[in-house]
Amino acid sequence: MFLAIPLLTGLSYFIGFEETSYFPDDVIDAFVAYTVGFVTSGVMLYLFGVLNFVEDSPDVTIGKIAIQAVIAAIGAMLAQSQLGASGDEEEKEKESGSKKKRRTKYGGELFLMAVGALFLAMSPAPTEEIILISYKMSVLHFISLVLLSIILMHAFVYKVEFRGQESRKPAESSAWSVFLRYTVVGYALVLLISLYLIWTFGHTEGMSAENIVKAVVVMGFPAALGAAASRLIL
Amino acid sequence: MAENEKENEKNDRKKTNIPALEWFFAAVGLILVVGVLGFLIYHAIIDKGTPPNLNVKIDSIVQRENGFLVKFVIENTGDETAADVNVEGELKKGAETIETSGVTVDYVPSHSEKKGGLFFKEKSGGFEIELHAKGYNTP
Repeated sequence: MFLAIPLLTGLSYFIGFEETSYFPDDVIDAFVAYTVGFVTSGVMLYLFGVLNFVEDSPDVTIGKIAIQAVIAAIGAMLAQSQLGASGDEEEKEKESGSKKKRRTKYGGELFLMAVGALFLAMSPAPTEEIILISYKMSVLHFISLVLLSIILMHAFVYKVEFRGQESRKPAESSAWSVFLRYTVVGYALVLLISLYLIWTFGHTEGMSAENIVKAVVVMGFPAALGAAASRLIL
Repeated sequence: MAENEKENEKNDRKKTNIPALEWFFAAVGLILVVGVLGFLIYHAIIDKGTPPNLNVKIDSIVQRENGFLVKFVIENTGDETAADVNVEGELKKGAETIETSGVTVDYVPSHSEKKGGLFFKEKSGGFEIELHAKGYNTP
């Protein structure tokens, strides 16, 4: 439940990043998105019979909706930025004469990666499966998974010629420089987010450091894809 | 056109001046990623693949209206994870077993511990409680 607060703050920044409006507006948008997410989650969870007003205490019911609402709110934000993008961007291009402005900030890129990672990893995070998968894997599997995650992340954004790709990659800066500054940092970010999610959903209790790292790596795989894809989607 | 190109070139040159902060992040990120890999490799080397070794310890005993609750901690000191661990508790007075109780713990990961509890109906005190793991599954 306490996940919602930092997330909401993050969402407001995210919107601020997408649309060049002033800050209080972003905060309002964030709350609107969360409200939309909350209502949608409430309706959907009720429809699927997940909400049980008789057996569950109000705490549990609110908790279920509040957590689901976070994912739904990011979804709502995405829809907003996706649908609003074309008109907005044209306008902005006219204004500033360059559409690159929005994409060039390093901090912004990292933030987008973080949002993408959260968005994709939030859905499997509360389930037991991530932990169960980590029990079944051998150390060799884990090392391979780490490498695969990094390679996929790098390939996704820098090697594959794709829409929204960071096309202004300067020719002089070596591939290693880009790899270190974006992919490695991105993956490190993904690992931290995975750790945060796993801790939030109570999977770390009583676990040895080794098992926590393993769970983080498993969680990190979808998160890494989310982070990499975010720069194409958002 | 020529002017444009010039400007582009200028922009490109600007971008190659990578801020120190970015390199700082890169260094921190690299340390973290290499650290995780190193940690995994380190464990690959020291882990000998010993089977689950389960110890059940009494955490606390709580008196309830209709008996006792025995809270326990189950610890796995082996290198493998145990699933469906069957924990049994025996309530003994002297050599005689008065009551048994049991629970299944879903997972006890390697080098980790999980908590649980067993209920007993016996109301009178002066007994001993013995806890042990009866068996497990591979996950």
